[in-house]
Amino acid sequence: MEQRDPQTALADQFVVDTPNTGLPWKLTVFSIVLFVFSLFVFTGMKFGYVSYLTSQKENLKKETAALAKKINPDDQAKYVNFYSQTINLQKVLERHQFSGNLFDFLQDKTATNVYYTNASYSAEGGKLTVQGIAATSEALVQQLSVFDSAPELKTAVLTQMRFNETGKISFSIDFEFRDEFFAIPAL
Amino acid sequence: MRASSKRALSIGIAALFLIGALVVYGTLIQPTFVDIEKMRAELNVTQTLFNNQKTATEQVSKAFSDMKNAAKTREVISQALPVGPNITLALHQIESTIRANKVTIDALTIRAVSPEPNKKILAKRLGKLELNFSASGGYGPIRDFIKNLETNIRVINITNFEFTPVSNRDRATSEELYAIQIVAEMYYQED
Repeated sequence: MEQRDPQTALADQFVVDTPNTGLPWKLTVFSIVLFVFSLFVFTGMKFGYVSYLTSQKENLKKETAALAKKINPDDQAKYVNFYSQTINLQKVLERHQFSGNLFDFLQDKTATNVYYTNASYSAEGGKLTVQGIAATSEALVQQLSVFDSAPELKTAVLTQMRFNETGKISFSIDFEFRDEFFAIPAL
Repeated sequence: MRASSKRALSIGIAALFLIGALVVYGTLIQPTFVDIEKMRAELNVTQTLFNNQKTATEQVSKAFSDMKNAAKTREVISQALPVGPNITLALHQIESTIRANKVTIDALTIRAVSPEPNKKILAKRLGKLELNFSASGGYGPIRDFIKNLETNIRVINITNFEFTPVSNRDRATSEELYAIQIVAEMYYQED
């Protein structure tokens, strides 16, 4: 068995229990630290992060404004003109018709004993009315059959036919051409 | 001071600081956080706007440079569809076509008609000149005149024509003469 020092044993007899106050002081220190930390977080957010965000936003705004100034107003006007011209030219070319093709069509499809005296053309609907003279009624019928089989035409309608004193036949025909007929110029 | 009093005091101080921390959170941190969220959203929008603007500026600069490099194309387009009515050029074109095809012009009127609005954004309106003229000559010259008119550099659209024979013949060639009355449209772009 262990032998204790008699003085220590005596001192042990007079030890008084001290009250346990450790937890409240730790709690106090913790709450102070928490309070200071919350103030620190607030200060950091308010004067650090918010200022950073504001300056970032201002910088971006300035850079955006500077970008707009990079475009020369003269170049801008020229470009708008060029763009408009391209758009408008496309529009104009889409509706461009080559009515000169009518001459080639009539030259190719007309028989030798038939000729024309007048022609009237309207681009709207691709319509042409011709008046002419045929040597005989057979020549006119033959001519009409040529027109009937022409792929360029939608319709060819004989609207008038009259025998002259000379025995020839004057006639009038209304043509309606297909749209693609006027699309490209005939060679 | 008794131990129990010290204990109560320390608990009270701790409670005060805890409440203080909660107050700081509730009245300062929370609203600032909301503001920060809002600012970050705004910053994102500004950043997106900047990026878009930057891309657009780069594209526009590239388009400008392409346009400058395509000087020949611009010139051709400007001849086909000039900016402004440019009636002198229109007259010159008709006159030179007449001269080249040996037909005679009898009358010519040019009238500006109301321009066509454009549906495309930024695109300017399409102006129109209405040409009303009559020419006479042999069949071949008139046919070639019409063809050349329609294939000339400045776009002309013939909307109507009336082709009729003329009673007298050409003295030089004794060729039969015809007259043609033409209504046509010539185009330009508004300035």
